[in-house]
Amino acid sequence: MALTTTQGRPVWFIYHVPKTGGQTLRDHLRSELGPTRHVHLGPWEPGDERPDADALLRACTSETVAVTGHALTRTAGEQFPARLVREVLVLRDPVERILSHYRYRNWVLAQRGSEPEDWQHFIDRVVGRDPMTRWVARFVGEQRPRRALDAALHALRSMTVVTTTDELDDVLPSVLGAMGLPQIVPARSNRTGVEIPVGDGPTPAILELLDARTREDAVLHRAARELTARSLQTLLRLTTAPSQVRGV
Amino acid sequence: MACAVAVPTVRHVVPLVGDSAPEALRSVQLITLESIRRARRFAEGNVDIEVVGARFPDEEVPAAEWMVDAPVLLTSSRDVGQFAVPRRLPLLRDVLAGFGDVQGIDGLVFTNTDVGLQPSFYEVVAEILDSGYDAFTINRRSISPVFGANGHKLSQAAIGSTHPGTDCFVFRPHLLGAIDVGRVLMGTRYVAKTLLEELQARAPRFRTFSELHLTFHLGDERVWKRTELADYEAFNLEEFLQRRARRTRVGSTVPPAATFLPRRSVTPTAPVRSASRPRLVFCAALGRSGTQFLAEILGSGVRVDAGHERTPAMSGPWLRDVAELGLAATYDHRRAKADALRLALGRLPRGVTYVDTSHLFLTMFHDVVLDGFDHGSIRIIDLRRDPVDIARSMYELGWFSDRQEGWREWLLDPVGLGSPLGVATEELLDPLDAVLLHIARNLHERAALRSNTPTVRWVDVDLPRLRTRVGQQAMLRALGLPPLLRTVRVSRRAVNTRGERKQRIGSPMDRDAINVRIDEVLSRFEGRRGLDALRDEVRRWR
Repeated sequence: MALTTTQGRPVWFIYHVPKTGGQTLRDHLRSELGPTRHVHLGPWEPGDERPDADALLRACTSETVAVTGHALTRTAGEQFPARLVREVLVLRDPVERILSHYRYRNWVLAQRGSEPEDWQHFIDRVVGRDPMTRWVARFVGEQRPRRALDAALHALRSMTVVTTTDELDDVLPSVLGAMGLPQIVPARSNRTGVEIPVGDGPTPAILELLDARTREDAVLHRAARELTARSLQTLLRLTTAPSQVRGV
Repeated sequence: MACAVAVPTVRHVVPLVGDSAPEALRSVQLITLESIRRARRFAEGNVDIEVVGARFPDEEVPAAEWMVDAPVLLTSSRDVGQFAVPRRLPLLRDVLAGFGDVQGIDGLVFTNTDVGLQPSFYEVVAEILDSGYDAFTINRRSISPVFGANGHKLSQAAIGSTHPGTDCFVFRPHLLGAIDVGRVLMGTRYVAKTLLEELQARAPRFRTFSELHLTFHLGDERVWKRTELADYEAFNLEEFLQRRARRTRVGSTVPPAATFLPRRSVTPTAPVRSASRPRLVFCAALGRSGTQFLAEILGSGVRVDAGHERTPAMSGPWLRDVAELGLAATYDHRRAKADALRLALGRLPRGVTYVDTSHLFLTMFHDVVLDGFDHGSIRIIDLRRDPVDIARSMYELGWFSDRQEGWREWLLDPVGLGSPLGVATEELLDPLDAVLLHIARNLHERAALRSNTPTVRWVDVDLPRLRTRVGQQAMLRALGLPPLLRTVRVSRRAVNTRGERKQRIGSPMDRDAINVRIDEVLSRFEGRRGLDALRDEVRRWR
């Protein structure tokens, strides 16, 4: 195979668990890299047709710098046999993530002119056990629910960057820097916060239920918090020549 | 007669810059100081405010009669490291020294040189302090530099945009002595984060106010660093991570576990503690020796949260790592189990005992647990079953053979990496050999761990006795747990499921054949390391 100019340059996989801040990074990468160098495996806007993720991956070239999207999994690495894959994962406090999901859901319903969904209905319909853990397990190819936490937790240890939504503003500039992009904190591009009316908050009973359903998610989130420090060190190594650091 | 109302006292430290700082920052500093002057005047009579300007002793900075001059920046980046591009950055701890003696002060405020105040700043700060917070931060709003150039009123009126960074800290005086910011440098990433995490860790009531229009910053370039200054950032990151690691360890430092791992020397340090209720119960056992039944018994107890192979189970990828790299090399990764345990314990009400009867405790996570938790709060059940029955069950279920897919997900090769047995892989004749040596390895390592953990209480339990009411109550008594109200029976469903699986695999084996093979194996490997425990156990059950 002929060597290309980017041969050996890493390709960044940014796994995106919904409601963890992935859209901010996605939007920023697209604006910095354009559609050739940034590939997004999923619809760009809610309601857009879902693209064929496999076809998008097959169309990746040696110019591809970053791949994002909920549909991204580790097996996508097979499309980049000669490239180092650097994995990025952002996790969020599991209960906060579900609250955000709920608000987002109701924002979508409001856009369609529909009535908001009540908490109990939302939970019954959407919130399974440890959804964040299942997402991460799926990213790394583990489908068995009983093995999900082990697989997810173990996979975190080998990823380049693992952090939490809370620490995203500290970590993102370094991630961008390691990709060779300007190290800035991208403005948040999601639709939560001030853009979405919070509406009725969850009752203590709902919070308790969410807490009980996300015990494994909490373990995973805690691990991500701890791994943030290691991720920052890794990123610093990737962007700093070792000879520069001479603290005494 | 008018009654005197106590006016809250606030001391505010601002680092001031002189000639060693860029011109742009010095200009912004003037806007900052003017905003502080106005806010101070606005709060007159309602809040007693003392503003302190912290500076290098040899640098000239703007002065004002309402600001205390504090030449407290005695060290700088030049004193703590060698950096590619020389800069003179003060240390945060020197800036905080500007607070001086804080007796009689109600609240301490620290803001950056480039953070301006809204007129109502001090009054709102006093109000928040009064509501009971021990520490809080106020996120600034970033406004267009154009407003700054056109006068203070415009810069204060501008709505601007929220900013996630932290550059305004307010905290109670007693926290000043508690926080440790190491040698982090001002003007570089991680300085705010270091102070923020210290305050979050030490303040009982902490809050970030991100939607208040109380502080502003001219411009929002959000460019955090230049590559040539990366070594300053690396320095701060190291300091930050050291503080974080120190905090993480608080409450979890106990003497290292004395395990069967050769990497540690073993020194018994303390006697076994009293018979108080345990916080954690684990089980040193082989698979197929009743660990699930044990979980059912313990789970029937009062104020016990019991499970069998609780997640993360430390099987699958973790076990493959240990098989390939050994326990010592995977130790840091496996600490995830101890973290998960801490989280689970944090959720349990006081006085509830956490139980996990996984046989992987011995193989996969005893070291991280024993290193991470107080030995006095741990009990380990030494669960025994006749090794002939165990071997028979394992063999019939196809362990260590192609008949059982995926055994490598939860079993280590008995003579693989880290095995204490003096037997080589090539010497194994068949899966039954592997089963017997697996039992031998487990018994040997169990004995080693037991003798090396004198500060942990071990409780002996034989499976046949556990099937009786007397046996169950005796075990609970020995563990320090309350008696059961009813006797727990072996689940027929579990027995049947295993039976069906054995039938499907189709490798029946009778006890006599196992007995013969045990004798043959012990004789074949006579004098080899690590087989004594199996010999003793077989004798005990015969």
